[in-house]
Amino acid sequence: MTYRFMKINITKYLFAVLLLCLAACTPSLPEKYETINELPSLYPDYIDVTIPCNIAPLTFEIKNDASEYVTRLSYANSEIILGGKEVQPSLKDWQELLSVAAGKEIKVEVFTCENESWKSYKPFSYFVSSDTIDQYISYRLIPPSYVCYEMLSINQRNLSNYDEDVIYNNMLAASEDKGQCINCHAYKNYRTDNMQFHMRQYKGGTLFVHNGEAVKLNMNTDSTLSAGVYPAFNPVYDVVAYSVNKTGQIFHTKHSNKVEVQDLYSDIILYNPVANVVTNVVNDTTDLEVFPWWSPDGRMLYYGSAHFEKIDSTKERMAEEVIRYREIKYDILRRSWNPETFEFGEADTVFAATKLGKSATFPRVSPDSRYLLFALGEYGCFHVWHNDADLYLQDLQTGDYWPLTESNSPHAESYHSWSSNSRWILFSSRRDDTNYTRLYIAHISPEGKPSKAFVLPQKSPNFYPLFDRSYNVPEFMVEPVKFTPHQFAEIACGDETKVKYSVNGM
Amino acid sequence: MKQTSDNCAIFSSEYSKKANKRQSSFIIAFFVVLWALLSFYEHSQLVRVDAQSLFLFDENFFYNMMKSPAGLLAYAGCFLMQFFYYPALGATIFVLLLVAQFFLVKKVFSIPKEYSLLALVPSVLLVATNTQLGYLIYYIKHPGWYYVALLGIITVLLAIWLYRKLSFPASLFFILLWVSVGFPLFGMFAWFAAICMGAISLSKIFEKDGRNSIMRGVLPITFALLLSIVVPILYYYQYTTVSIENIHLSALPVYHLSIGSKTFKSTIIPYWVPFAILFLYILFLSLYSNRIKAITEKKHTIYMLLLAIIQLGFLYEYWYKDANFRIENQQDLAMWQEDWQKVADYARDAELPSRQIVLNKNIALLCLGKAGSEMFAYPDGSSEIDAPMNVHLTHTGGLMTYYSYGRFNFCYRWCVENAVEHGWKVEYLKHSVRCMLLSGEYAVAERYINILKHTLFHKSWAEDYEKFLNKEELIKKNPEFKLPLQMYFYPDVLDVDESFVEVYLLKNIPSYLYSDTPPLYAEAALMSVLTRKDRKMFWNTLVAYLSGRKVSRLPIHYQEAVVLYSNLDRNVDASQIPIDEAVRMRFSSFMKRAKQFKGQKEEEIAHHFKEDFGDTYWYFYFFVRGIKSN
Repeated sequence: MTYRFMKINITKYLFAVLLLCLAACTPSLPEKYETINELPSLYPDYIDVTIPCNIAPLTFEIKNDASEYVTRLSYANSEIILGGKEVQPSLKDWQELLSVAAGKEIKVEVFTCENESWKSYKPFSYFVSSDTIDQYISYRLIPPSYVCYEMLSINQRNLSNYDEDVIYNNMLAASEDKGQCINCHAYKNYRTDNMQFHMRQYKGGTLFVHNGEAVKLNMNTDSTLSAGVYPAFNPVYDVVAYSVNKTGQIFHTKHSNKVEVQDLYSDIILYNPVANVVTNVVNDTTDLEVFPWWSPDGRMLYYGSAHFEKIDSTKERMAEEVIRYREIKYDILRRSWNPETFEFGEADTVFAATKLGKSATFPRVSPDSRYLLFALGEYGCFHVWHNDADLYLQDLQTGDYWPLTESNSPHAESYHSWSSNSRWILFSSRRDDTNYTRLYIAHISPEGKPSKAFVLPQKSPNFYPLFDRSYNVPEFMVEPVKFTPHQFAEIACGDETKVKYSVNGM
Repeated sequence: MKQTSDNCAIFSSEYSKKANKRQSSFIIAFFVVLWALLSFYEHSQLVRVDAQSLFLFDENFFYNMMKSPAGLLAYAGCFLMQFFYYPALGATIFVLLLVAQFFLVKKVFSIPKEYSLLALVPSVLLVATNTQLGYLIYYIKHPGWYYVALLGIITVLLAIWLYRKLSFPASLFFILLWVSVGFPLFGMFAWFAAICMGAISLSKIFEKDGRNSIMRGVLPITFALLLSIVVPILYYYQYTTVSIENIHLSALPVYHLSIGSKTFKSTIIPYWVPFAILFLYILFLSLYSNRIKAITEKKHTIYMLLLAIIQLGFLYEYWYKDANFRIENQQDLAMWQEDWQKVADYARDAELPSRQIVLNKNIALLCLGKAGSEMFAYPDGSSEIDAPMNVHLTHTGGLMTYYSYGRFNFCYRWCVENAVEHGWKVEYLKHSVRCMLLSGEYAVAERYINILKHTLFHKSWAEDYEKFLNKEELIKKNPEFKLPLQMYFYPDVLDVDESFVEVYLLKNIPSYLYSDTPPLYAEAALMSVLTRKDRKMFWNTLVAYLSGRKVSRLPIHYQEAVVLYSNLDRNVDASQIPIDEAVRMRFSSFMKRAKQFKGQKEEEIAHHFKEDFGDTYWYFYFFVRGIKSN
């Protein structure tokens, strides 16, 4: 009996100690503190950002020196109180807070303690938009390299938490001595039953999923400049537009842009997966066409186009392009397309960047057909390497255009995509350290007003500074890719289907 | 000699004592000499091994390693490799682990003390897997490679030791458990251990008769073989970083290199020999260590002596001894320490130097202000690189060359390109920090400083350079940056180097000479023109060199070039350039000597000239020919 009594007592004591420990570990707000009129220094900078109501918890590190930290996130009667330099709300608490704060502001207060004296920084807000964001995004993870490549993967991320999966990793089919480059993943209408990505060199081809069936395509034909490069699925009809490019890379000896990616020649082709044929849409030697994109009704094809004519007969075209690289500037054009006859209309200039002495590429029309989002820089088409490149929006109803000043940075912004509800944009930016592209998300109001962009949240706030990959070609999706990486690898290693050329594309 | 019932040889106690003493002395001497060789003879190579690796105290670094099979071995290998920052410390850890591995072999396979040398064989082979590499250290792709095989074998031995303690059928479950749990952590070493376990059981068939014994012998090996095939395939579907063709060999280094045009298959096979023997030997011990036959003492002495000689011979053969590789590493270390005199002095040790040695020496002389008086007084030429692949300077010391000549974008580009192929390494990070600081790209410099701050030994270096962030004036004042900043004079153009550092620099540096050319740049341009033997560009470059400085007396090599070129280009009037009388007289005796050897083979003439004129530009101009830069 004595033994039993003692045992119970010990258990009770242990339980009490545990509770005390828990209580000691649970942070509480300081009772006394000095209020200072200064915002805390955070990494990543999530101060006063607009976030979707279904986003994963924003985690950040407080960069101000202190011995103790307490952070409170609150809306009305709901709050999360967290201790420590690294602020990492739990998924459950965060989702509960977002659910009550949708359409409102979450107040964020940071308290720090130094020499037993607490201070409270100026509070800031998360503006929680009731506009939801598509649940998935996909991107290629690639070192910010120039010519070499080794391990590359196309990944998908669930935006409402931190889950990330590999869609395809080139090492599943390649090896160190037989390299395979993978690129240009694209989807039809944000869904994954119709999607594609390219594999270059070893076991090269285009991995094309058509109505849920995956094949490996060889898109090279004698009548087209190259195999398909930059893709655009028609959101309504069963066709895919591609630019075809002869591309080269050359390096700045001094400039921080580091590298120029130039097209020696480029055209646009149309692929009809039902007939398995391609046809030329634009095929000339003096105009360079790139980055096609369809209007939401599927009847208008947008693309970037630059006019370049050789003037020096003593030089090869490439050599001349290298010397005159700053003269190559792109406008955004569009052509109507008749889905019955597969015929394209004449080119019509949508945004005449060259008249402004600029170069506009990567046209993306919002799914509500209202806005055209593009990247504008001084020259060239590959703005992801141009520090001066910024995102611009054009109202397709009025023709007015403006920079997304609140979302842009002094460094390269490019490779943007619209969410399916036209309220969010996702783009890559080199603003963090000028060399590694990170994904940023910004809200676009129905009036075309951008919000301050925020970096894709990660579980650890210190993820990006040590992560040695760039995020490339971000795309929204409303569902995950259903094939496993190993199924894709099996198809990549299998036989290819040769695409034929047809004059009318049918 | 007596013989025990289980066939294990037992010698007379006196012989046994003697043999044991001899072998113990040999083994102790082996490890001590090995430690000394690694610590001192391989000093600069081991520093480079550390520079060619990276270990970060960061959880994501760990998770990244674990994304591939054998991730734990790679992680532990990277952790241990960082201690080569202090070569003696790194060598101590490596040798101690080898010693542990030696005792494990003895223990696990119950090797009698008279046969201790048999237990040394894996140590020798493991050392050889590393010492054979030479220039391959720049290309080997497996993280933690220096330790992966050693740690892998230790793991195998521990697993076998545990297995021996289990009885049937628990041992079968252990095999299953070991391969299933071990493969993600240890890769091929997991299934290899299972096969060894099976082999041990198989060998027991020959000890005892009976059906039970056969079943217990055959079943484990069959099971182990089956698991060795199946488990990696099952794991293939859990990983996305390795193809099904390569999954079984996870943890082995990658020697499949496709750089340049050489065909590697035949040249790479020898690199696998130590591994092949190692695995076969461990398997052999698993099968036969319990059946060492009785032999005479005389035979035993001879066999053990032979074994010792073979081991030493093998290690000697598999120890990369290329002098130029050694000098390059010594120079690189001295360059990081800014000991320019040492950099130049090392170049004297090369009989026929590699281009990297010559480039390093020229940078050192440029820094010391001795280029014009000494650059042709060192051995010159272009020794072929002793490696199974085409070694490009862009993968080796070319990064330092680009940095020194102010080609920050190109240096950084190759840091990134190399990191893509071989993973980020300390050396790439440090070059990136310096290049980005000096080109004013502080944000990216800060990124790499931050990464280095997560290392154990390079943290203080990173903190030292952190003070230059956003401090252009401080950078300009620092003498360390004087040469690269003066060389950072050229305009921005679009260009490519085609992976040939020296060729690119020799062509490009003299292309940008203006009235305000910094003195070091003008001198580097003149050095380039002289190396190229470019008579057309010489005079303009000389003018640029002279315009930037007050020269009372032209350095000796430049005088030699003036005398030579004015002699060759009769239409050039160089009479205004003061030339020492001694130089003129020496040149006329050079020319007289040349007439004496007219008609003889060039190599013979060069030989005759070397002693008297080997330190002149004239010798370089006429006799150092066919320089092939890599």
